[in-house]
Amino acid sequence: MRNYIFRRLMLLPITVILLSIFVFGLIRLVPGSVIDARLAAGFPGTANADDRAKLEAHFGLDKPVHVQYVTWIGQVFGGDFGTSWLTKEDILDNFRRRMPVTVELLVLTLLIYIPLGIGTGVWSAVRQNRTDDYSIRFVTILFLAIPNFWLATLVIVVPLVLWGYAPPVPYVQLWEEPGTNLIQMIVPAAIAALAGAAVLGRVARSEMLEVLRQDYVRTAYAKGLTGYVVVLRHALRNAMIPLITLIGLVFANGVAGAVIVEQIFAIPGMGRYLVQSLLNNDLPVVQVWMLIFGAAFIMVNLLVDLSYGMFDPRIRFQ
Amino acid sequence: MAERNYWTRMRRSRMSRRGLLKASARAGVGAAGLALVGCGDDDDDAQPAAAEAQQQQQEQQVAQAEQQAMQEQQQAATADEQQEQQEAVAQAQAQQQAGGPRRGGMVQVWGEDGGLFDPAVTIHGGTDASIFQCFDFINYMDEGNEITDAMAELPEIVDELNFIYQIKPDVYWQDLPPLNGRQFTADDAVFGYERFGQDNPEFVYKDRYALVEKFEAVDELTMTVKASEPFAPLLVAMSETGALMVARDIVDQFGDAEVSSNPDLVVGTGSMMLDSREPDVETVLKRNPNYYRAAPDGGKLPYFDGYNVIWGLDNANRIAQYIAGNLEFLWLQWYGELSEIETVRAEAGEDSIVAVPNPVAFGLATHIHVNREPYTDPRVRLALHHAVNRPGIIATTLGAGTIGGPVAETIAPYGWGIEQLSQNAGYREGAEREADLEEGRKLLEASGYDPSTVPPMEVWDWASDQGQVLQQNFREIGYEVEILEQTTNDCLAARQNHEFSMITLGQQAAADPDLLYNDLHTGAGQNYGEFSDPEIDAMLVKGRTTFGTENRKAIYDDIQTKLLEEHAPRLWWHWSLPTIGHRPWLQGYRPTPGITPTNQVMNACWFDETRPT
Repeated sequence: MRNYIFRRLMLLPITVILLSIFVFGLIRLVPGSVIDARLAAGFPGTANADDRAKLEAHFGLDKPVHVQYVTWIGQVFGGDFGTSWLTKEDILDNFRRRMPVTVELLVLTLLIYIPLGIGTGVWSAVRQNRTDDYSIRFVTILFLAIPNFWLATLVIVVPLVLWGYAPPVPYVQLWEEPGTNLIQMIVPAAIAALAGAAVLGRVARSEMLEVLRQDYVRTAYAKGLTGYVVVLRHALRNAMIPLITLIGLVFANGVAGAVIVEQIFAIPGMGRYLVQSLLNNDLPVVQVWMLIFGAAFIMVNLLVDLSYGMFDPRIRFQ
Repeated sequence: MAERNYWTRMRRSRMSRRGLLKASARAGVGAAGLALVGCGDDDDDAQPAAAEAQQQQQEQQVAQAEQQAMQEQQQAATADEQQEQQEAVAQAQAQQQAGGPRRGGMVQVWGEDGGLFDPAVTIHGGTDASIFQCFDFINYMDEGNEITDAMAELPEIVDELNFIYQIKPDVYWQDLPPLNGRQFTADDAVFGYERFGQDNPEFVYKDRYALVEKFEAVDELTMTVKASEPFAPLLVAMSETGALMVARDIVDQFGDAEVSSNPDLVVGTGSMMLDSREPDVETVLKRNPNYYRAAPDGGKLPYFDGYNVIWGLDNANRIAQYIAGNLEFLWLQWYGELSEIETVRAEAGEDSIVAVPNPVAFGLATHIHVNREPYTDPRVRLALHHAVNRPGIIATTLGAGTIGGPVAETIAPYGWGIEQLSQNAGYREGAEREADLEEGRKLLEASGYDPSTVPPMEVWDWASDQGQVLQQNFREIGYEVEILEQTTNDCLAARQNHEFSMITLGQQAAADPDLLYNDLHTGAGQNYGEFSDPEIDAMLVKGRTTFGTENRKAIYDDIQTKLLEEHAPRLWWHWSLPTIGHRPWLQGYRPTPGITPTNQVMNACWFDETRPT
């Protein structure tokens, strides 16, 4: 197993470099640039080719793309993430400030997502073709169909119309005012979790239905074990492998959800940072953001792979 | 026939100083008469002669008061002073109605945190708009698009090339290091303006002062400005959005890069000081106790204790926060602004928001690249100009705003209002529009363009609906064009690089019609469609080198007529007056033509007693 982990970790830098090339190239295919935005906004600017050339030189965009890439990746591996073209703020400082916010949101999302998804899936499977099964299936399909940005807007609008309530602003840190922070974060986390939980619930239901029909489950019931023990200890454990894979994917979904809910609920996290940077063609920020989350996603998937052995001892890593 | 528009209506509603003095005199004499009657006994009917004498006396007093009022008016030094006095009276009346200005209170507003802090750099999305409250102008543009005194008196115009600014003696930098409250001098003003012109690619206002030969401090409080050639918009440029003064001490000590990125270096002469800042969360400003402007009651401005600026609220969240009472202002989007006001009123009550049209004109226009087929032929461009149903687009897709000409109506008195524009082809309705369409068809037919080679029209995705109506309008004269929707960045890139044939995009008005020079003069920076016409070039040069409002208006009227009737280098069709909504307890608010002059307006605002605590 140690060799397996070592090999996977050795592959990580190669994957990250490939990812960096992909991100660096892809972002440059997007039409427009921070220079266009600046020159176009000049008011009543009389920007000319000379101004453009100066700005390009200022941002290092006058150099060949491969030189730009090597310079950038060298700085990143040296620990220098650079500064934002738009705000000139240190990108690493920004990440340090924003990352805990998004991590908190992701943790809360997971805390809602996993119990809700697996719980409803298991309950639905156990109560197959009964009223509660139909109800759960209806609700899960509903949440699969509802876009989370719409749900987020609805969550703001409905309490406002009914009770004149709006979520507290501005954002406060968890360690400053835990109560207010949780009020601010729990609803966005729930919204980010709901669609994923609906998927997890449906997969958990189908997996559980398959497992519950196995002979060893029937045997367990026959030897007098309670339904609780049979379902949670025997059946669920064997249904967990695909669910674990899905939970691993929630990291990516959670980040995508964070991009939306952070924007709507004015949460100053990484998702919001990405949106602001993308809208302003702030390439250094976008590049580093994609690189870090790409690397994090690879690490999460490694952990998911390693966790398979916990649930199924037959799985051996070679 | 006099033009009627928002600004003329607003001006008409003001009471003239002469009228006010007359009314005051009448009211005073009337009050005196009433007092006399009230103090007298009940034998009035027994003494008709006395009553008649009293009436004659009153009339004499009225006449004398009127005469005195006229004499006083004649003594008024300049028209500007009269206007100032009118405004002061209007303000005093408003204050009286509201029970007088009250001090205190934190203003709750929202904004987008750009994270840049240098007024010379911050113009685009990187702007931290809250810092504008910390800096101040030498002069600024008020709500009537008039140059108004701020840290300096209005300039003395020596001749067409030379201007003298007298800095007010009681202006001080904020009491923060490294300036520590020292006096603002002419040297500071010279540095502030010269800095805009420095060779820094990030400084966006440098071309504003390109025709200034020299800024010079001739003594501690006097700055002279010498232009290299006559340039009529210079005084406007000296007062326009962004012309805020940054201290030499800070720039010399820390450098430009640090000034633009370090909030600790935000030290200006403005009414507010930066107290704390949490990026992308909140900025807190507190009152500058040494601000130079005095309140009418003799105290110091501003009335507010400070601002809580909440960053980055989503549209729905922003409206929710306003309705829930957590915001004082609602800067509305220029699309759907009316529906947002209606939403607020429906949820929070009719009197929950005071909606004020803001003279920062944004608009939509269709740029045409005149060097690309089939638009090289002016007949094709004019045909399209005839076809655009401007009132129709606004009514069906925007719901707010006004039909637009080359110069926005807010650039008074140069911009054309609805009445004047409606006399032109392409702006008319009913039977006249039918005639315009027929003329468009004829022009198109005469051009002999090849319909199979018409390139697609790029449309900003925010203006998708408008693009479809335009497409339908063109179809009415038999011109078929495909629509290619583009994101903001794509549109900006295409326009900036002149890589389009026809593109529908937003536009912003300035404070002076010289904006047309930048838009249409051969080779000018914003002449994206590469329009070039020697006659128009000459007129544009004449417009910027001619002094006197009437003379300039005549020139810009001619330019607009020629553009609309002969060239149509761009299809101007919409200007929007964005709406600012504020709480009814906020008193004294007036809209301003730019973003930054808001600081001057807000300095004189206050919360009345109806504000919940």
